[in-house]
Amino acid sequence: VPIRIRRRATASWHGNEANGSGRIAVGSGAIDIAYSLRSRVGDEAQTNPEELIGAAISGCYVMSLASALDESGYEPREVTAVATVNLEESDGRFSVTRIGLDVTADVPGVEEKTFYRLADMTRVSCPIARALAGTDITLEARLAGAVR
Amino acid sequence: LCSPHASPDVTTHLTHWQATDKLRSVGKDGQQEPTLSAARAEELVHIARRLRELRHDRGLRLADLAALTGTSEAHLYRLEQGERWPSLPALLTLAHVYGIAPATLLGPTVTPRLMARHRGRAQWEGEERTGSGVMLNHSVRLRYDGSSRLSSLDGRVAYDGSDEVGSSPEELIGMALAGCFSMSLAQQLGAAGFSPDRIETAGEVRLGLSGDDIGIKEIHLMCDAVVAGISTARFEEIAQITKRSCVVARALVAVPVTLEAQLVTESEVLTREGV
Repeated sequence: VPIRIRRRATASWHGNEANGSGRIAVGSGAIDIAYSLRSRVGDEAQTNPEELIGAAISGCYVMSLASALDESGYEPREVTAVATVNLEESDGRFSVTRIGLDVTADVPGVEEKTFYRLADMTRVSCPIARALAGTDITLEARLAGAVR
Repeated sequence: LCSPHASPDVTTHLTHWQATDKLRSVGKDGQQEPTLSAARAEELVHIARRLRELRHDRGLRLADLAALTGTSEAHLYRLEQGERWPSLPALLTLAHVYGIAPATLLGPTVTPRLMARHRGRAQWEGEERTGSGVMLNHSVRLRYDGSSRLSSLDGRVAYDGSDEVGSSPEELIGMALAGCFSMSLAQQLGAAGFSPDRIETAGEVRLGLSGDDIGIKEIHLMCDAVVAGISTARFEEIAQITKRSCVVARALVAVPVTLEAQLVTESEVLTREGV
């Protein structure tokens, strides 16, 4: 029987786009953060949907890579990913054009070649990456301690 | 392959296209005018770029486009890289598949402007089954692990600094889409001449796990909005358009998104405690 899991989040917006503001919250409301047009395309220190996408894909990626390494017989000590989500405007319309993943991993005994293969495979196979088919995902990966 | 549907635009452009070809062939002393060949090279770059943008925008893989157009992936790739000129039938077919006037494939493109870069960071320690991780950006820090991700319980979320484990990437995707949709709906309503007072959207990400395959099967949006002077039909129409067009929805193109949107009064929102 397929397992189905439901995750719920809520967002509310007050007023129009330019001057209004909103809040984004998850489940119980334990996270409840403000956002606005300025926090999205300006530099105001609030959250925005793109940043959450970044957190989601990096979170999914590191877990999936740990799994792929594990299945190949390695024991990852630590995998870290920084996702940079590029929001661009073209023809008056905004799009997430590219997400760059910058990955560092500490995995004893793994060969670089094997690591890069698994890292790139995870880039396309992790569940969040597959959902984000409308944008390009690029990867830079390195092994901690590896000489480049 | 070729089903040309001539609009005034097409005809105009075809005439122009043939004219340029002719000019080139009758250049003085059989040589091409340098300015003309430079212009042609630029046009090729434009076409390639438009083709890439359109496919990206529609969320199609090369394989999908190949199936839709009956053209090989390799050839489509070359067209998108500007390594080949598309034939006229190919151009018309592509325009048809993308639902645009063929002339827009040839027109000038607007250079994308980088507006913002947003970062998320995650760290995972140990193996998948036994390890745990943390997802963070400047406003959120969440701990998660295998069981918090696959748990069917909702809303077990920990704040910054806490050791409690309980979030998932899917929950963040739900936040991102709900947040983008609410803001985008405010914009769309504004553009249509309405002034939204309050928009509240819940996003439910439905994750399916069958065998070893885990994936987002569907996201369901439930939206309550307070908007004066709009008819239910018009509101629903705008909400459905927003569901397809908002930035995050276009990025999440591989996931079906369903929407229930309704107009409510301010007092109803306050008594409903969320959606």
